[in-house]
Amino acid sequence: MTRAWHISLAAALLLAAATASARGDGLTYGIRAKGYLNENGQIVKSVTLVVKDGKITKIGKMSRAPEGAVVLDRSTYYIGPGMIDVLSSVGTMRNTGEDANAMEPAARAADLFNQWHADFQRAARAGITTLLIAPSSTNQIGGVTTIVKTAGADAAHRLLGDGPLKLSLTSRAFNQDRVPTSLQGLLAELRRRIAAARADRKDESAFARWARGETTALVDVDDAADLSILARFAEEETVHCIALHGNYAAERLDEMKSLKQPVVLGTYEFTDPLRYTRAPGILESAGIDFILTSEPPRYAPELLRVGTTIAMKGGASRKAALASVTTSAAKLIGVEKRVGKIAPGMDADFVIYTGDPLRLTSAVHEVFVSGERVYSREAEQDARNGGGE
Amino acid sequence: MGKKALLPTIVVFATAMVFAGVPARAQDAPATQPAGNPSTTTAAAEATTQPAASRPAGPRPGGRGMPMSPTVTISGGRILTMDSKNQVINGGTIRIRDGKLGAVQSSAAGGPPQGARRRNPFFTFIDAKGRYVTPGLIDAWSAAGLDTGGPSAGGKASHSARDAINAFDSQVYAETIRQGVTSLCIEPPSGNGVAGLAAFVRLENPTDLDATLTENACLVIRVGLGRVGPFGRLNEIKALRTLFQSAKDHREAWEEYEEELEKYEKDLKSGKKVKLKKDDKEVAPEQGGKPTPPPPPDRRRGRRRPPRGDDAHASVRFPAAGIEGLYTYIPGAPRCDKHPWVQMVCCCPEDHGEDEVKCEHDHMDDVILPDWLTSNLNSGDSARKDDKKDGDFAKPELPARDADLEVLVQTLKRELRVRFEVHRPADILNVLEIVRDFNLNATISGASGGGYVADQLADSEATVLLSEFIPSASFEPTHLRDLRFDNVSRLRSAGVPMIIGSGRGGESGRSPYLAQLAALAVSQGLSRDAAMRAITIDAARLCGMDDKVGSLEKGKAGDVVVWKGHPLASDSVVEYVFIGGRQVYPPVEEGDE
Repeated sequence: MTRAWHISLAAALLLAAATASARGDGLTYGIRAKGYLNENGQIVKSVTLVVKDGKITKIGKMSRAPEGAVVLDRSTYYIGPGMIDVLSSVGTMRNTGEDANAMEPAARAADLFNQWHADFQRAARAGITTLLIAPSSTNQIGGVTTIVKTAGADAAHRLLGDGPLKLSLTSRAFNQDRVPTSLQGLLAELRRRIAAARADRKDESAFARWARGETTALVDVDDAADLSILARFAEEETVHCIALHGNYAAERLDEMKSLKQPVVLGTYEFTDPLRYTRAPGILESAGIDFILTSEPPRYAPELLRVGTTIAMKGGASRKAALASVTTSAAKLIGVEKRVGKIAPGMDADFVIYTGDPLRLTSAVHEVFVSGERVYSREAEQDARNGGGE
Repeated sequence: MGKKALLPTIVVFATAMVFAGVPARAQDAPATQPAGNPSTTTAAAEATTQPAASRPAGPRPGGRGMPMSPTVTISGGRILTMDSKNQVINGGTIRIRDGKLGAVQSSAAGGPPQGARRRNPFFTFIDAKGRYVTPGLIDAWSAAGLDTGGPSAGGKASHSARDAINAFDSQVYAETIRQGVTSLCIEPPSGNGVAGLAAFVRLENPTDLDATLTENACLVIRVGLGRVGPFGRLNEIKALRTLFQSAKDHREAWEEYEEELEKYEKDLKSGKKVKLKKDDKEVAPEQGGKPTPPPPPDRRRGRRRPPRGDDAHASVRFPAAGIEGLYTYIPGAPRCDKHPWVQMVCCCPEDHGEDEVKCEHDHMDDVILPDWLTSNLNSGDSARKDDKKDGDFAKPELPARDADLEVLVQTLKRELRVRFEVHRPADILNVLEIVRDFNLNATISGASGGGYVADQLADSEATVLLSEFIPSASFEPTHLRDLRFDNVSRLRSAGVPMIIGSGRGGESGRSPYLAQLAALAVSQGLSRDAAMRAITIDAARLCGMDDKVGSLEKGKAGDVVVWKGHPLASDSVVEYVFIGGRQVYPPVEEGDE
């Protein structure tokens, strides 16, 4: 018993040492695993992942650990990339709508970032390591989104920077108390503002940059009709738009092709009608990227991984289903150089699963963000059973 | 077309089989048989012996001496039989003939047998090498094809889910089949209270409700759903007790009647002139008679004062409290045998034995009951109305009939299972007490807070039927607020048997997601085997259908699914579904070669 205690103490010290490395004291650690999920959705067997200063430095088969590195043995587990959810309002207490004005192009979701909010922990626990926080769809121009890591004590390190501009064509954006009160009124106002932004070359605001075609906006839509309207508007004004909640995209393939952008689908639940759940498979065969969202905290963040399995059951490939919550999602919000896959040089955001990460039978065992362990299922169970002592 | 390349070899020797299940044909076929004639073919003879509500689900007999149903051979797959030994047979063969399974063979068939086509032109051979073969999945808790809105309050015990099923909701049934689910136990939609009878449906032909195997798989009762105030909860539990008690009274009234009728007929035959002395019975209950129940209380009267002082040796107490704060709940106090929710505590037990403690029978006045129960109670009251008669002897009076109470009486006799949908741990304990007191064959469904009372659930020997696994992320207080990620593992550690159903979410049910829900349960601690059984044989047993479906055993229905990958794997897809030996997925188009 004493010996067991020593071993667990040693393990705790190792882990402390390992996690300390995330704060940049130069320590390197490795994780030996049964396999990892590469960006093509394939499992590569028996690998070691090496992390240094919060970054992945190596992944693959290794005969021995790198010099001076401690190695965590997870040889019965699988490593998957940390997931990215491109639409959320975590930690903002839903104060992301401006009721008085329909348009708030200068609003910044970053101002609302509350790194202590418990919903971040819930998202991390579900295997989500990066979140986009968006202004509410009750504003026609919601403002600028922000991209954050779901864990880590240091708020500055958790902010990855501003994301795309957010617009909304949904019925929720219209209100009789403020103009414009109609969709055609909104589109007319957008055209005026786009023309003004193009006339003023010095305007470097997020809206002006989008209006000049330099960036992409996330545009919330309600239905298939909105998708058609959005596609036409984007083509006429030569602006880049990505549809959020484009669950009818499979019924508007021509419009989606003319948008030349991926589409965001969700939230996928176990209750969804077929026209939604078949969309990923149909879009994939049509060559259109799809991205999934679980929209925490409105819906449970666990639904993001559930969504990938619903997509696969509906006909999408493993590769596309994985990309929809990792690489494609990262590219959509412009952070693909930092997160989204397990490869050297990327942030050490990864999840240890009890099995194949793309199967619902596998549970999230541990979650690492920027090389730091932020969730452990065993620790949670110990805590629940009245402490680990 | 590209998809077809992925499918394993399928050799269809004839295509006429596709008509086997088309309703027009299926209805035509029996018409050629002399109805009810015992000398018709075996299949027709079976048809006549089936109860009216469960006509044979298998294929109808064809005319011209030719079976309408094809013979299906599925060879070389990894067969998860789900039988009592949980056998897994690698590279085995199963055959379906006349809609029923043959014995599972342990070796692969070497291809279509010689002369198979000559003997039976309706012959399908499937090479399932590298594939999983399982019985059709069974969703023990489905809302497929229902408008899940349903009534906001409870229904009646005699309500039948079958009447609410939209059999033409073909899309949801098609998708359900596509995900490997072939049988559903469809619960009647309702709010809190008695919902009604659940129907067990095989999806052989969703638009033909004759495929319903039974209309009364179980009685569904819902407790504490949605926002229920504290007094709402008290009333709900009390109302349930009262309801089962009135069923008990109903049963006793009928048993008494039958006893008296027998005696009456016997006496009548012997030519004796008999006198039925009701008064004798009342004064001498120990002589075999029963005390006459008191007249039903008149609820329109004002609230009765509680008995007090020396006049009452017994005072009536309410476990539900809340009644003027005068009474407290005393655990272990004796209960009135007529109204078990009433506890009696005597102030002077030294003066007499416990036997003398009497229930006042007036406490009904103090209970505020919901309307649905009041109506049930009134009918119960009329059933046990005192049969006062003029004259010295008479034929005993027929007690009142009551369809709802009769359903409940079946549950008291344990002929019908009761399924309580209940989530909050405290509500579960209340329900378990009712289950114990009335000796019910009970299932606790929902049980999202079951982990908190796992030991009590294990002691009660009730089965738990789960459908929710992901706790809500919002703050809204719903009945699911006690759901935790460790619900499954806690129930498992306590040894509570678990079944998985799709539940009643969604616009037209979520039966297509059954396998994924089972996969989630595995991620939360259920073993893979237990999860598979929870959506096959154990689910069938819960619905009383394990003799017909749920496993690949000789003589059972030919409901078989061929999977590319393990059924619980998220990336595995269904390749073939047979129901009663008929291929229902991929759908066989007319004129396909």
